[in-house]
Amino acid sequence: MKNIAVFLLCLSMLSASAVIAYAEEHDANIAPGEATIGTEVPDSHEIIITVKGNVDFTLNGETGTEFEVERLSEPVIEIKAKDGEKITKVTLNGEDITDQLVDGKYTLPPIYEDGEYEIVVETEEVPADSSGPDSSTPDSSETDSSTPDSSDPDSSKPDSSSGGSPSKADESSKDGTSPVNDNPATGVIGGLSIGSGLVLAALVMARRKGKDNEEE
Amino acid sequence: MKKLISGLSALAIMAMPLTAFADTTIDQDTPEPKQGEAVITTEIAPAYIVTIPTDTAVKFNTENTDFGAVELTKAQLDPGKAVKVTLTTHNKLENKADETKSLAYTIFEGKGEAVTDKVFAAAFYQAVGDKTDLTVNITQDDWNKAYAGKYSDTVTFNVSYEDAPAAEPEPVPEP
Repeated sequence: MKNIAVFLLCLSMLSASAVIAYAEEHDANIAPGEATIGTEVPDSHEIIITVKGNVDFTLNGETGTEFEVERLSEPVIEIKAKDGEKITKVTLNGEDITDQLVDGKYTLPPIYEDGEYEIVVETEEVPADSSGPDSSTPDSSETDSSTPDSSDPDSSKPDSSSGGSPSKADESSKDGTSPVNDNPATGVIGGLSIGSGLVLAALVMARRKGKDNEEE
Repeated sequence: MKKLISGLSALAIMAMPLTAFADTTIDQDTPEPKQGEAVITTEIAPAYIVTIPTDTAVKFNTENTDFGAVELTKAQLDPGKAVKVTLTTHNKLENKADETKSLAYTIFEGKGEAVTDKVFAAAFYQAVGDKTDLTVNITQDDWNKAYAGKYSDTVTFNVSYEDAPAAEPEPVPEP
């Protein structure tokens, strides 16, 4: 009987401990959970460029229509007109970029995705007579060749012939000095007249000396 | 030995006061009405299961990506109690090759066409099936500026058992 009592008592004590253990387990259930969000941004993009117009085209110095470019890079396109032509207008996807071309080059905005671009170039023939500098100017031999308006139609205005560089006569008149006679013949005649005057004066002197000698 | 047994018995009796007081005896001396009451009690520990989003890969140049949902899938809660889930994020994906470069993102409630502009930070759940759909949002402007490389961030969902929030009073209809 005593043994049974002891067994029951021990059993009751064990059951009391189990409740506490369960409570701790419940607290432990409160735990965080994690999730990872990931993505990958490519290091290059493929761009397709279609050029409409009779021009030579390169992107970063390479020809073609499909290019692989580094992400966020700013590729440079270069457009060159054929011989005897000049570029008058360039549009990129409909936007006029003519004024942004520098020596036929244009820098695209940073590339952040694959894309297609359409470049339309308008050109016109360059007149043959204006191919050489000032060659079309009829008075080019008499006018300053560095004058930018030498081929300008307005250059035929009355004042245009002396408008490029002032003459020496004009310079001297501005300085208040007498004009210089550039005619070489005038110098010769002057020299002759002075010489002949001296000869006549010498003859007169010689005659006077002859008369003085006769009187003595 | 007898003393030891007696000591243990006394200790055991002291450890079981409830058993001793729970018993009620009714006999001829008990005044009328001869009745006794017994209270049966039990306790069911609260149990719940919360499902949280798994790892998610965001496709390049995608503004909204389904991020799954936070959902209460099992709930044996005490009255007035709720399971609270809070979200901890860095709000930016970090470039694995260069920690100085990052890609900002936001976790909104809702998904697909029903995505909202409400940022998910915390929510209470009380019944099985209660859930919040989530969406990872990266703006196009942020995509356009992002440097090349792999990015990632780990978000943490903290789950706790708390008092349910007071119900918001219903708006009084204007006469």
